[in-house]
Amino acid sequence: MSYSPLIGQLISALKRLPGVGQKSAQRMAFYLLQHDKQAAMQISQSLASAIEQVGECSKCRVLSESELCEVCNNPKRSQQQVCIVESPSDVQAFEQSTHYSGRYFVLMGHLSPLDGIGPHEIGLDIFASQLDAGDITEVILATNPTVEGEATAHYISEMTKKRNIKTTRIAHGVPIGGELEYVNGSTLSHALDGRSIVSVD
Amino acid sequence: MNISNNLSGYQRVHSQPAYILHTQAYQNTSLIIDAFTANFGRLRFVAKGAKRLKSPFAGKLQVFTPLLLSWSGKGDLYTLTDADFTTSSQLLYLHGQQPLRGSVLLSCYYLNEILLRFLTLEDPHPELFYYYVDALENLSMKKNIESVLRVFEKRLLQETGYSLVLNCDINTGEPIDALKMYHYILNEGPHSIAYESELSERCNPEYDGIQVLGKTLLELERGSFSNRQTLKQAKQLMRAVIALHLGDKPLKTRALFQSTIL
Repeated sequence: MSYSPLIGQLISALKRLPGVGQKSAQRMAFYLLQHDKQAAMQISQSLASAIEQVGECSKCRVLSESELCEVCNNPKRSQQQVCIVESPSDVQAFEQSTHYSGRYFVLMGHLSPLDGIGPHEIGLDIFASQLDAGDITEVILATNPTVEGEATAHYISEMTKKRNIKTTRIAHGVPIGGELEYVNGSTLSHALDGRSIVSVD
Repeated sequence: MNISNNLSGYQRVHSQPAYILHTQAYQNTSLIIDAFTANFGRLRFVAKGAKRLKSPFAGKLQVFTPLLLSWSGKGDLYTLTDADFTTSSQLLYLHGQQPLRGSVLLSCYYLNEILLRFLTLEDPHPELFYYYVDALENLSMKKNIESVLRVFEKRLLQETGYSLVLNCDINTGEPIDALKMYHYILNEGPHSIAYESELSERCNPEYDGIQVLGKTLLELERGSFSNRQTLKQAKQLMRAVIALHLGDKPLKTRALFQSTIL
């Protein structure tokens, strides 16, 4: 069956979303056009204005519509402590579930030499000039525990070592509520390496 | 070997030693994997759902890690059915060390890139596989990195049919003299410099040769280098030879070596 041109266009546009195939795209298009034109209008307007106005925070590269994002602009948060993460969703994860009070730097990926993604592509030149500016006292490496993530972390740690800046790596270990028996070997050995002294008060 | 193969070309293969060379995201949660297997050469797999938290592949499909892979299917893209750490990778973890980390990683990526560029799919190179394992091990111990890379390059060329002539003058057939200078003409071999005048007619100003000391050639042949000069010459020679075979598309890891910010 062929769609009328505008509907066909809408369906193929929706199909570009991750996880949306022909069937779901068709369902979404028909739903919006048949049952909820108001929502459809709202989606189209907010999408258009978001595309127009949202850019990157000039300090941490997270998506933001202002020059500085909320975290970088917040006087209550330490600007001396920087947590380095791979993606904006990692920032969300930290914000939602930890008491972290410093700022972030988002790489938007990791070093991946075979795909031609080097230090420049993940914004490390920007980060280097921030380190040189001199108000950063601690760098927290929170890249993913994969080979690429480790390579990225190592690269950054060399940058900070050269400038004598305290650098820490988030702990890898056993998840809360997990059972040791079922934790994979490499995680367990990391957990053992990163063991900490128990303090009794 | 555990292989069942029927007439339609459908394969089911179990627990083959392999290393992953490169992965790329495919659809939402799957990966397409380029792997170097010991007995089947370079193969391409799809690992369905590999990015899901509870996938049986979770955390295993990492580069530079010895794995046992099982797959089924036919044609250019097989379906990965199982992946396991080998006893040697478990041993590494038992000693609490990451297989590889830090400054040698970029060199390891370089090995992967030249393998990807030189090997065609489904072309078995069992010898080369063990050379690769050997090179990774030497790199992880941070032995002389440059020399490990040169030796691997030489073996890669050998195995893929581009062997270098390193032991005799291709004009006279005489053995290489360690003290003489040679002109190494790419695709042919070393000429002693005395022949250069004859050659100059044949070769235009964009002469595609490299000047090397006889000693460099002999040491490259032997696989161990005595000083920095020969190591440097060997690097220039290998770079030129590899560039010749790879054509215009430059190696990405090499560009990265040069663009370090720090």
